[in-house]
Amino acid sequence: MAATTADGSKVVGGGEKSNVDEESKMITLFSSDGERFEVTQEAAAMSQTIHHMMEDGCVDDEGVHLPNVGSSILAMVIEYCNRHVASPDEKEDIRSFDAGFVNVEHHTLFDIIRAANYLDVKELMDLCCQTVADSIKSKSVEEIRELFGIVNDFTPEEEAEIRKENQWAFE
Amino acid sequence: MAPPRQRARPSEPPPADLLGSLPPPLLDAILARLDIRDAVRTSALSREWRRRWEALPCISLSFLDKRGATPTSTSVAVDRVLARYPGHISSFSFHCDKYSAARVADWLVALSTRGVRSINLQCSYYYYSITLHSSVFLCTHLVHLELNGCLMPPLPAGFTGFPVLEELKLYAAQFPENGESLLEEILGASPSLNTLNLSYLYIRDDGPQNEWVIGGPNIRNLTINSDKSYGWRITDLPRLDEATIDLGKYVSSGDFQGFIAGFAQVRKLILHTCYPLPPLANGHLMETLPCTFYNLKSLILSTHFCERPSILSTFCLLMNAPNLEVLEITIDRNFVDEIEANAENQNIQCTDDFCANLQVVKIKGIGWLPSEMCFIELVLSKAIVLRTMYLRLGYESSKSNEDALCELMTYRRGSPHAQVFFNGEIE
Repeated sequence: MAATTADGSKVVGGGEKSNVDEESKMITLFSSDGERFEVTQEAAAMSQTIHHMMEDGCVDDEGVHLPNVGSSILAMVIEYCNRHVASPDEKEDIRSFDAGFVNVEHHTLFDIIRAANYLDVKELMDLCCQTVADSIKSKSVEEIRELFGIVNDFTPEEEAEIRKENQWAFE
Repeated sequence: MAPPRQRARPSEPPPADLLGSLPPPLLDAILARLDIRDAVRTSALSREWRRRWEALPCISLSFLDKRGATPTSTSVAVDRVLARYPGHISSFSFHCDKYSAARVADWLVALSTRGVRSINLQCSYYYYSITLHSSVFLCTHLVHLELNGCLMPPLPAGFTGFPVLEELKLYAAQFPENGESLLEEILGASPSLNTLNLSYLYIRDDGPQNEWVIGGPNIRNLTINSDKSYGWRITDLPRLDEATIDLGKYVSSGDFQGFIAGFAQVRKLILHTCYPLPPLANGHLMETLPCTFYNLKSLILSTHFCERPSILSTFCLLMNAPNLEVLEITIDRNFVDEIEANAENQNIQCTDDFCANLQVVKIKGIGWLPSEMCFIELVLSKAIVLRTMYLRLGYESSKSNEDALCELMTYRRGSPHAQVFFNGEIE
């Protein structure tokens, strides 16, 4: 769905709506590394941060600069928003889209969480946080350490003491 | 599961402790979704993680799943968490038994200061009933309260009500003497209540009884199950939308119709009229209703066609529900001794618009009794917009299926689109 225009900027557009259509006014977003993204206002409004800026009239013709979000992550967030405004009622399709969307490496997922938090896209935050939580559930302590690169700096005695203190949780 | 997609990213080793690198509010958002067991286990990950779970702004103490837990270990768990964790506790769900009974009072006292919004206490009341500590009434942040098998305490001094309570479910709750007024006080102090379930309430010592009085400005969903001869009075339920009533054989002395009329505004009604009548009822259950159930779209009955009072009450409801669209009947003959010989409904006069809006009819537990067949015949002829009728056989039948279905096929269908399914197959 991404196309490259003549000046090299990426257009991750709003589906089938034509640019002439009044309803799908476009807004330009700039990632931290200077890449341009064109999105429909509707999709952009999924970000409460951008939505408030639009409402308060803080968005000029140039667009919105997002110094906290890199281009690859911003592209993904835009993909998510586009998909969710396109057909919000097709629950089955959206569920399978979401499942595929979060099937990424953890460091990418965490970058998306940070971006979704900064942009205040609640549904995306919920989806990603739940995904991370699900990956922790019912795993052993060793498995969790490995998954997230946590180094065990306990002495064997310390670790035994902790497990004993809350034995009920380790059964 | 497909391998994770590789998104364009400069190659570098992942930072140590990915999780810990998140800003605290984001990490909280993730950890808050873990159940208490998983959250506490993070204390063993590393030194930095040892106390991390204790810094969560809010946790949920839920032990109803009993995942590999012994009764004593779950009690110990609650004690340990309450001792270490200083923050808010959003919900508390626990299965009480004799091991934990002694601890529940202390826990409720603690919870009342932790902003708890949901309490679900299930007591194995067959063996041991738990006396609830009155601190439960000081949990002013409660939104959901579900108690099963508890002895209700009196209201404490300093009770200011439950301003945000939305759901109250009491199962097998034992009330002290004058318990009716205790319930009335609780309901009066819960203005936001929208779902109320009162199942099998008891008054200790069964002394002289007043009526249970039910009222609430926002109650939308009401369930009353009872197997005692208590009186029930509806004072004020302006927003009631759905009601489930099962009073067993203890419909109050004679005025069942007056009681049911209190539910005239509901859209969905679930009623059990399959029981034998109490002597005081003089052979009448519900033959006329003083009001019309204009909003009633869905009626679910547990009844039978063996005795005149039950048949009459079914007709009475149908005749007073002109906009009914869905009718589900489960035929329950467990309480029927013998079938009245003349329990057919030949003498019942129906209005022209009887079942005029009925679209779906489901009847389960059919025995092909003459009275049942009469009812089916009548509905098929009168329900002019009927789309489907589902019939399911019960355990005993007085005719073979072939004979019954042959007879059924001869009935005139008032709706040209009506389809009849028997045990899942179209007839």
